[in-house]
Amino acid sequence: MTLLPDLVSRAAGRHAQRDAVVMGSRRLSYAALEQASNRLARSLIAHGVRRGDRVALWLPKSPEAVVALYGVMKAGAAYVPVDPGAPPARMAWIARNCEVAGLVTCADRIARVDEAFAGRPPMRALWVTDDAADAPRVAGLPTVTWPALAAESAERPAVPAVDADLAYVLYTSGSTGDPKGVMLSHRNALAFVEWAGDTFGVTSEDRLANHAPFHFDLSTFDLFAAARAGAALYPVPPRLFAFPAAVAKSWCEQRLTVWYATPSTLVLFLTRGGLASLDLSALRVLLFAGEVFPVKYLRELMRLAPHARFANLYGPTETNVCTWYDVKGIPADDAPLPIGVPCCNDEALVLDESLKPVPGGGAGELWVRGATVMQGYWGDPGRTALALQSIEVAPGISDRAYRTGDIVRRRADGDLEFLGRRDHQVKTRGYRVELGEIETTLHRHPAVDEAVVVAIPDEEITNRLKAVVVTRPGAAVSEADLRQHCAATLPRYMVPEAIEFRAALPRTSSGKVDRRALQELSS
Amino acid sequence: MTATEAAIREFLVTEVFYDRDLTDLGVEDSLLERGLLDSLAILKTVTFCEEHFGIAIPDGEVLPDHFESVQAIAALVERQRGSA
Repeated sequence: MTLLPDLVSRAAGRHAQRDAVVMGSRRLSYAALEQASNRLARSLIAHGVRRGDRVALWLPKSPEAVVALYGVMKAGAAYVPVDPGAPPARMAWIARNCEVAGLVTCADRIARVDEAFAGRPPMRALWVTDDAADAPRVAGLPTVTWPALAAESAERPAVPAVDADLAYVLYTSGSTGDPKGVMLSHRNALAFVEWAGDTFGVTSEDRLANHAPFHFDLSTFDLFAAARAGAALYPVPPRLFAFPAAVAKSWCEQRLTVWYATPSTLVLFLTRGGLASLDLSALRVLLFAGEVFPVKYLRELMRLAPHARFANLYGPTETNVCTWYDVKGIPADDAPLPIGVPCCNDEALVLDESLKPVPGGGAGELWVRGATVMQGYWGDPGRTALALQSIEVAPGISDRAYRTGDIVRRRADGDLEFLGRRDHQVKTRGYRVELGEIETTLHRHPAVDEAVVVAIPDEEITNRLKAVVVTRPGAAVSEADLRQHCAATLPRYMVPEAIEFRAALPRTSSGKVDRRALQELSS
Repeated sequence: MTATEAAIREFLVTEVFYDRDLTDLGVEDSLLERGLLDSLAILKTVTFCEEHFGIAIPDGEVLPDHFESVQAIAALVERQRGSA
């Protein structure tokens, strides 16, 4: 039995002085990461964090953020990484929804934390990752600054736990207007990490890029496959994050060997990052996930790094990676890459509406059972019961399976092909967005009568979001007003880039809003 | 504040930060430290500067130092004007 933080403890035994985290000019060895996370775990426990609790992280990427997530797990709690770019109101909503026992943040966010909780913070204490001796305090809340952790023992605290316990909760867009917290256990994560580490041969000699933010499940490969092998993790410094040319250059100069990113990120490396003029000789494995990779860009990337291994990984947050396609070449007809075959001890079921297998290569909905399937949505048995259902896999075998909402078909060669969605979930820059969540947010504005959000296909970032709004009679509201309203509660990537005002929305003959017509008008 | 800085500041506040209440954004304040800029925000800002000021900004100039602050972006715009 292994827990995720055991990966670091073991690496600290075998590779104590090797780099665990390298970020800009800062380096943290495995010994240092082990000791710092042990001290934080002891501090969390001393302030009442118990096995089974949740602790939120709301801070930019830093070596301390890595220390924090291991420290939380070593205390027997689950870490809840919140988008550092999310507005304080969303952070506070998630912290309350998940009933967090603690929050780890940085000094320049304390004032926003204080304001967001309006004097009633749900947690028992606050941890601040810098030397915040003169920083403001949150009223009524003990604050532990990073230098104060030095007083704690560097021995890992003994906390009883098994790998079925929760390791982290990732909040994702919810169609009814509120985010939902996907609960993943240590075993869920390890089923993926062990498969990926073995399949791509990650060793202590590797240097892994970390582009995905920690609230995005792509980061679980970077973090935990690196720790499992005693390899070095290279998180992108926040200062570089928005600049494809700067990130691509730093990865090539640092000779990173394993890259895992969304196609949107990699396409920007090609189109805006000058990748063609960089030295890619150190790149050994290039993994991508989160959206469909436009074939013309993938071909270009494979041409630039002919020696590297490419793989398309597939899976929603609820299952992490559950299928993969080993990219040996681009299909001659330029057809999109398949999502491939199941992995990580998962099984892929292609079912019809009555939950019966679809015969002979027909289109059906993808259901997934097996080792990576989530434990449920935090505090939401209703949505959990809809998403996780018992399916008869074969006579005498029934198991809990996750309903992905993705429509797929199984080709004659066994590879699964992604065909589309059965609902209004879309991808933009690899992020998963429920159009309904944005629509609900727009509806909360008093001047809005009707609102529909459409996704406009885009070659570089998969989709751009556009809202079409009908305002109440006599109400005066501008595009800037509505974007400001959205940005107060939604993450940045969910704020529609364009908002169009119309006197009425097109309707189908049955009186429903005609999304297809709106889509066509906008494309 | 120069006219160039004022136009860039106005664009960032309404079209990138979506927050017209961001009245305390000074021209020397770090935009990158605020953690609000992502790659799409940078691309939008580049497109705005190119169209508004009638200049071209090569991809190789789109680097953190040139987008550190309103003042830094304005300096980039002036340099590109000079080289046009």
